[in-house]
Amino acid sequence: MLCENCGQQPATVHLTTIVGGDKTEQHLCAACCQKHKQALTMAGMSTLLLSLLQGAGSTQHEHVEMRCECCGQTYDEFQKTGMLGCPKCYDAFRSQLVSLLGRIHGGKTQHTGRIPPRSEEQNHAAKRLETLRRDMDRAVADEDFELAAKLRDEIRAMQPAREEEKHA
Amino acid sequence: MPDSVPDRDVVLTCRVRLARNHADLPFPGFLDVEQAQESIRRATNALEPHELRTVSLDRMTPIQRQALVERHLISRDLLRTPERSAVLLNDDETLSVMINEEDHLRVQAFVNRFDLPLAAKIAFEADDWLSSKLSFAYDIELGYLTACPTNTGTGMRASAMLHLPALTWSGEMGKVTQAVSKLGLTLRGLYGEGSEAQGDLYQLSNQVTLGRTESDILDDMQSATNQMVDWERKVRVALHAGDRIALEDRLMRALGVMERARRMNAKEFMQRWSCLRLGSCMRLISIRPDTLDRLLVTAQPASLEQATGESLTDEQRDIRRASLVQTMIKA
Repeated sequence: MLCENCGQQPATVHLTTIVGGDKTEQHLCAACCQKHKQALTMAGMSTLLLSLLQGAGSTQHEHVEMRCECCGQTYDEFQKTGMLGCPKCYDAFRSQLVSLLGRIHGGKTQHTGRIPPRSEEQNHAAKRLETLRRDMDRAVADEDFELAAKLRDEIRAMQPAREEEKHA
Repeated sequence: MPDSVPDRDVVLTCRVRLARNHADLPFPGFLDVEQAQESIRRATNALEPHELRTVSLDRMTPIQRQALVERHLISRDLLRTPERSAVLLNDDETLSVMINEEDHLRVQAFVNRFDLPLAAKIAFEADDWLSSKLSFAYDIELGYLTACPTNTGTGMRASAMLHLPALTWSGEMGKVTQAVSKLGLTLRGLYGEGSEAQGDLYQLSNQVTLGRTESDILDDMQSATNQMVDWERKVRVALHAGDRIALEDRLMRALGVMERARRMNAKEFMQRWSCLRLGSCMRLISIRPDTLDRLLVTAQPASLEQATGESLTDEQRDIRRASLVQTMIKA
């Protein structure tokens, strides 16, 4: 018997897959079987996200519906689709998203890349933030966790203040 | 080397893509018709001084749209809502700006060789043009805000299209996939449904977009791609040294079929193409790799149909493909 996939090599592996009671059989050569195995490990980005989201869902025992006031998107819906409704969803679901982002991006939740050009005040705030972050890193290195926590809260507090500035 | 472009034997193209969103509009999946038009209008206005050509997808036939996907200028996702999307292209098609795909703006720089710094330069320049005129959704802690959290932060995805026949045939891809995932990168098949990698073509790209700078990500991609190139080359040499006749027989049989077949479906084409490209890069077959890279695009279904100027049945398309292959490899 020849391999079902490439039709060139003899089929040496016989795979039986059972999904929801439906049984399928595949007869493959060693090389195509290897590809099949890879397929299982080569999960795309969206698959990764959805598996993380579903994992996150299963650990939440208390159910409170969270909704973004700006666009109406709910966190439940986001968990199903992986898609947020508008930029304000990041404020509405902040603590959940920060923890999810950490899991997606290898534990990191602080942006360090490009900054869009902004007004002078905002640049000033960005510089202030940079200083705070540097001080926080130093405090962690010095094992002064009390100071580090204080600086972390200060960094977090800057965000809503800047949002108000924008609307003023 | 068969030609003077470094790493051409393994890397076909590379790409840098940036995701950006307007601060005050819902993400594309939540836009009403008017807001979608507003998003298109803002991007077109901001890019007006830079002489990009606006392509309105709603005025194109499905075949013309699909041909843009085959040329890597737009994504399949953009075609889900052609009536509320658009794409802007520069003259040499190294820059495309997709509007209202998953995010309001997807700036994509595409280079026909392994030159990530060049792709990044083109993408960042377009980002500067846009951000000088538009107010993007940005958060001081989380960076650029995107519709899906897998892009949050830099919004940047850098990728390289790799031809890995030797690693694939020798069953090493499982190891390769594991190795790259440890580096925060991901590897997936580029053609074919699901995870099947037709033509032994793969896309290597960064998975992490938050907490690392754009240049860190580009450096990681550069060094991982270099490693993949070395790995693939070593296995090519080993395959040839191990059983020269078996390898050459496989490649030459593919050449024979490509030179003579009267009809060829897409799947078979991809298999034979991969053999020809490997043979070309190992200097066993005298067809230039860049000819084969052009053939890879022009032999895809929509591109074939577009070149013919009429709609084709599957059978007619397979006949056209075989004929195109012969014309191009003999030229």
